[in-house]
Amino acid sequence: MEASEVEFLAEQEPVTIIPNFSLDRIYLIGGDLGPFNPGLPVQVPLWLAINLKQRQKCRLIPPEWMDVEKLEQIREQERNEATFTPMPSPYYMEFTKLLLNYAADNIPKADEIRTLVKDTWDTRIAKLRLSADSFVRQQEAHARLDNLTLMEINTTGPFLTQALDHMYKLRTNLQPGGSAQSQDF
Amino acid sequence: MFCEKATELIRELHRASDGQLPSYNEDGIRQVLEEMKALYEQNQSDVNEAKSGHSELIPTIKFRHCSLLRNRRCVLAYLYDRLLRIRALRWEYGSVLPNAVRFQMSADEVLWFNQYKKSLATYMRSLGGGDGLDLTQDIKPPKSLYIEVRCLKDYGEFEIDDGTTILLKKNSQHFLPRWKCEQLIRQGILEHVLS
Amino acid sequence: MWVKRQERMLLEHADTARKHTQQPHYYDCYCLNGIQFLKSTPHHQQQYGRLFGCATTPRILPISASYNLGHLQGFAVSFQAWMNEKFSPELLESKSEIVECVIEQLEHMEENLKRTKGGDLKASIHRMEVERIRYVLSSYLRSRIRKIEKYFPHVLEKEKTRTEGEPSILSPEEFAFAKEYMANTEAHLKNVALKHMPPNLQKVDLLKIVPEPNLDAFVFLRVKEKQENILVEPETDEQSEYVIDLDKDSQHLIRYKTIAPLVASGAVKLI
Repeated sequence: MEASEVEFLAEQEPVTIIPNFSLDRIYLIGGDLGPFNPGLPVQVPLWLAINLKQRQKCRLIPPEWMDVEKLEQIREQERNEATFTPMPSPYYMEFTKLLLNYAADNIPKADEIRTLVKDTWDTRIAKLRLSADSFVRQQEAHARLDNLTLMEINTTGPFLTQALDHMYKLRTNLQPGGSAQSQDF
Repeated sequence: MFCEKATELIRELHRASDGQLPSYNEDGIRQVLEEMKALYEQNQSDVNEAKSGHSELIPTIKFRHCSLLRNRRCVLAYLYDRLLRIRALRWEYGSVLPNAVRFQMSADEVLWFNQYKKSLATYMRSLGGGDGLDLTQDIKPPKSLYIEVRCLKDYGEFEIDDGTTILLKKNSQHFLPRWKCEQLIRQGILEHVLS
Repeated sequence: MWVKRQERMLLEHADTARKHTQQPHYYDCYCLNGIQFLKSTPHHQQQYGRLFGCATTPRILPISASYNLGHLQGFAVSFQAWMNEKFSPELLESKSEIVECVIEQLEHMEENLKRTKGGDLKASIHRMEVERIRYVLSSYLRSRIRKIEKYFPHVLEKEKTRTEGEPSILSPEEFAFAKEYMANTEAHLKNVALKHMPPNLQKVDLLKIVPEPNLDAFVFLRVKEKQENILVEPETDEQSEYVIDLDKDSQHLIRYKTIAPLVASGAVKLI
């Protein structure tokens, strides 16, 4: 899955906005939204929040976890523990990116938040590389990957699975009577 | 050396980068088929000899047979790989191919392409009640409703979803629904202007 | 009948109609059309809530409505079908019912949108949603067509050897497409090359020469329903096989063939 597709999924996540317009409840295929009243917070999917923000029709309220103090804790925990710690959102990275790109003016200390999330991400990706390395080395048949987010899996996943497939092919070709056979095409 | 021509066909495709369609090597195919005919005829006569006692011919027969199989494998791989590339063109350019691409294809490949186009169109039309669903559109996840595009060529009138038409003239700039212009961007008629 | 109802609901502010009944009209509509699977089940609701996040977020503000357990459960299922199909090495069972239902929704919505001119905010929100759903649908069908083209002899063989009662992996339209693709390709290879070859070499078995899907491929998955005693085969001769449990909501990296039946049953989803 490409990063743009993971981002697409992240855009389905809800976010709270404060609209500056009025609109009755709206019945979308995926569910109901609104009603929208100026100054009153309302939840919408991120894709809509960003679009309304681009049209200057709302202000975005960052999710609770998008806070310097909370993110510092998360970063420290991630650095101190050997395993992957649970993230505040399954799309924390994309959420941060999208919110900071389109609504930075609505997010206090945007730059610090960007750095904290990036640090956490880097720590996790480093752990992921190490785990992938040991997985391949020990020729494991199964790994548990709790708390990894879709974006993290997709950063390393396709490369890892392809590498594993290649190694498997090489190995089965080496074994006498292995089932791998060349294809005519 | 046996199979040299056949291997050359494979190399030819291998050298063309992904998705590129080099021109159809009719001569190469003909030469491989001729080599196969010769190998087969030699084997035919040697098999008769071998049957009448010349068993020392058997390894040669086997070798020729392997060469025949390898030749066949290479020819089929060459043809099949080209079909895969031609198939991709349908998704890239739409149902009308640019002449430059079309000239690279053999007459049989054009036939295959037309039939593929037809099958795909029938399938896409069958999706839903109305005009069907064009699966060659919506390739990328939608980002925003409208994007800014610049026209690189004179294209003519273009209908937008809401029923209005606009004139796509070279160097004109428009704010269009993204899903409407995806294919025109891929065809090089429009260019996405990144702000 | 439901077309009219939806038109009314969509843009002409018939919103009040629903407030009185509190029952999503779309369900009724779909049942009228004989599509029963839309009936809401806790399972689907849960999934839907997670995909759209709202149901599980702690911060639902009292005055806000949520874009959550909506009318169209099939929509959420289609997101899942899309991801499974994207990540599975083989073609999965066809979800024709969901596809038809989503297409129907889209068509009616698009039909209604065509009649509204200009930059009405409400219409533009609907339009954006339509575009997103159409993308998922197209991408899903596209991955399927790609796999059908890539593995056509194997896909057709599987369809041919399917026992009665076993669900088909192809929709009738996909089946027709696969057959034409096979016939077209076979004819091409025959006309250009095979029929000019020595008589003993003119027949080839496409099953043998077109690569099969690699069921040994590793996949990532997330567990939706707890599974016990899944047998993991060893990778090397020195290792021995062992069993694992798949806890709900846990994530794993494992060979596709080990858990293929669980993908089919919906107990796990590929990620």
